[in-house]
Amino acid sequence: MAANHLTSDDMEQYVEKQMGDRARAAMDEHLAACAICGARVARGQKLDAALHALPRARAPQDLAARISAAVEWRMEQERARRARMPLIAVALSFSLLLAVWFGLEMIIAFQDNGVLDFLAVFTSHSEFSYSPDTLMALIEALPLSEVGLMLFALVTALVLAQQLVDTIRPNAMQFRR
Amino acid sequence: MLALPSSDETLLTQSKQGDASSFRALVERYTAPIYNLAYRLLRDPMDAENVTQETFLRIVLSLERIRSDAPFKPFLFRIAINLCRDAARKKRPLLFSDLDSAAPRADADEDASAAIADDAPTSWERLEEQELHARVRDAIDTLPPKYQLVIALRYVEDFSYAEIAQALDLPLNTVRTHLRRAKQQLRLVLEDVGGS
Ligand SMILES: [Zn+2]
Repeated sequence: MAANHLTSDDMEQYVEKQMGDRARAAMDEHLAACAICGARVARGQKLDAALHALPRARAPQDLAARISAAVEWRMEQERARRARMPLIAVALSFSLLLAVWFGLEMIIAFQDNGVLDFLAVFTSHSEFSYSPDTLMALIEALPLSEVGLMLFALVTALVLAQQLVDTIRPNAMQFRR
Repeated sequence: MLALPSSDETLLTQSKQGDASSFRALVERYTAPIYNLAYRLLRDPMDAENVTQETFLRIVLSLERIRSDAPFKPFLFRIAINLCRDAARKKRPLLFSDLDSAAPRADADEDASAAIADDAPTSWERLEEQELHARVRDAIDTLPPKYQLVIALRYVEDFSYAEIAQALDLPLNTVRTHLRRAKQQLRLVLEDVGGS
């Protein structure tokens, strides 16, 4: 009869009720006649009962309510985020256009005012002395408003680009309480 | 009409359509089980709370992409388990690295020793119920985290084998093997403690 003893796998499936009715009936038949396997099954069942009796940690009473509130808050943020996205994209393209425009203006002004010539003088003649007059002439020749507007548009575009990235790919949520 | 409790999948579909109360129902239903599992794996009430909350936030943020024709519960727990892994890795990188590893030991040896344990007369089975439960509780802590996880899913969360397989993204047979080995190791530990 030893050949018919339940294997460990059979045992496991029997205790876990993971087998079909036919297989189960066959095992029941053997178990009725075999004290060894009967004891093994009893052991398995006892262990299973102990496992089912493992303690459960009790979640704080208000946890579900707090999570629901956090979820709804997050959803609200999400909606606002989506509503903001097109506006930021438009503003970003606009400031990029402006930056390019003023950049071109600036380059043209540089060429028109002969600033490049000044620079060439400065760099080629190291013994060249800085007189207040030449310095003033240089400053007057600089297209300051074009430079300023270009930089302003560029910085604005950068800030908006940062915002857009944040909006498209929000940082990992941090809801620590 | 008196409403029967809606299935997870129904609630999920309604949540996708923008019904906040359906999502709240899912939160109500699964906060305790997820907290329970997270607490079991992380042993810290704060971490367990964070993981539970983060799980639902992840779900709600990817709501459109979640399939409502697949079982929701294993999917939900899969997210929770991954978050537990992340949290554990941050806190105790060595101890819990085992949650990831697939088959660290020589399996043949394990099976052989356990086959003996299965047949040998045991001292723990004569213990009083309360005493046995306490010993099992302690013995669980000595198991590799991977085994603690399947035990928790099976016996604490009452998952079916199929649900465990889906939650852990493992083949059904691997789940069966994990559970069998987990219990075999548990018997060995109980035997050691019970004999002394
Ligand atoms: Zn037998």
